[in-house]
Amino acid sequence: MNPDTHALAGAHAVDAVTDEERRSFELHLEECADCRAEVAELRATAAALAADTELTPPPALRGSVLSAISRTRQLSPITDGGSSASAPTDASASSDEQDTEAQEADAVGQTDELAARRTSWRPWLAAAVAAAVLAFGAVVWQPWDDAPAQITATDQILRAPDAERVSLPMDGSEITIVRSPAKRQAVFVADDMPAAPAGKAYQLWLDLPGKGMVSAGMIPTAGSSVTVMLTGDATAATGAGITLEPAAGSTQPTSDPVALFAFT
Amino acid sequence: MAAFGRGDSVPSPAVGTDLADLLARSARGNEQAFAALYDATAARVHGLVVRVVRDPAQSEEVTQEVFLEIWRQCTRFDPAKGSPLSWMLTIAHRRAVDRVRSAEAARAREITWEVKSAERDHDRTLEEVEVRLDQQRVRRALATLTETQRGAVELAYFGGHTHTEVAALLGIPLGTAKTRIRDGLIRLRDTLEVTA
Repeated sequence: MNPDTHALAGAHAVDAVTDEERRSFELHLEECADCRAEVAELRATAAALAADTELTPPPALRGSVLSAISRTRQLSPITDGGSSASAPTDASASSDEQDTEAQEADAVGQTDELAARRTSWRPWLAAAVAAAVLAFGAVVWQPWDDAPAQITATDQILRAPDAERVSLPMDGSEITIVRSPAKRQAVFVADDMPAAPAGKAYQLWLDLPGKGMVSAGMIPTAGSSVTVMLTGDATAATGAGITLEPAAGSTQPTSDPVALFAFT
Repeated sequence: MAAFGRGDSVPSPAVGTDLADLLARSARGNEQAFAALYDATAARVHGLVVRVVRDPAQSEEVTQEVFLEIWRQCTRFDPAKGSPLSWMLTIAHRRAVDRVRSAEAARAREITWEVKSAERDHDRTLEEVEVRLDQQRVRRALATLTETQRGAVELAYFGGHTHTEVAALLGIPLGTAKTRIRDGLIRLRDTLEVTA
């Protein structure tokens, strides 16, 4: 073995190598059991050094992490059977993505009564804000470096650098809207969405200045875990809401909101 | 922690076993187990990330990335290759180093030298006492290194520098730093009786 190569085991164990050095050393590791064992031991040693550096992260981080993992697919294990399926792809619940394109509200025929109902949402919204709705600050998502190609449309919003998250409790679970002004869109995420009563469905609305509540699509009922893109331009929206509507959806809200999200 | 023995006693079964169990259950998609894993390790992970990254806001992002990566990859954790904590801290260190290097490449690094120390929990547990014992052992072990070994290890591990950069910082010949890093780590391993 090249002693010079072997000497890199320590630097490799503590990531004190360039990307190029890492690649070439990892090739060496595949063939050198001694170096593999040494790297594992020296990594454990380095980890022991970190016993000196405990620091409790801010409490809010826990919620962010747990909320994120519930939307994140775990890699398939590596099996010995040689049946190693294709490399795992994506970090996120891609199958949940639903594009609700057919739900654009048709504003024709709106009545004064509905207009009045819209304005009656204002106190709700104010109350929601006053009640210190959990409005998390911008959470920055970094795309994983090993899965750049498989990002779904909803993932792009969830991971946008300017993504803004607003979460609310709902029936003991949590519902969240993530909005990216730069990408002009918003995504609704629920881990445990309650089923709508028979014949009804949950409908999403964006609160647009000067227009009031505009339909942003239906929440699909299939499955309790939901990730759905809101239709329409979310850039200017000051909030979003959810109402129970007839299964086919409505052009204006016809019931009081079950949830109201205030954007910052 | 259980990756290395405490003096002549058997490594604490509590911490190590619990982490292995929590990691195994997390690998089967158990989010409660992962929450418990987070609670048990967040201070270690975040402490290491902050030590390398320094900036509090960036450190929080990195810590979140680290736990997401642990969640994704725990299905592939191999106990034969090391302890759970060692594996988790390896991921944390790599992410932290990647962050400081990419930040450096992109722009001048905004360094916040004063890291606000988050309020520490007041109900210190037995585990915490054990951690302090670990800290003392680590400090004593570091004290057995030569000045160059110790500088090389600390600049590499906590500073996030490459061995080439470490050589420049210590004013030692190119190629010597990697040897010092390795010598120093091997000495620490033997002093601390670390097994992989």
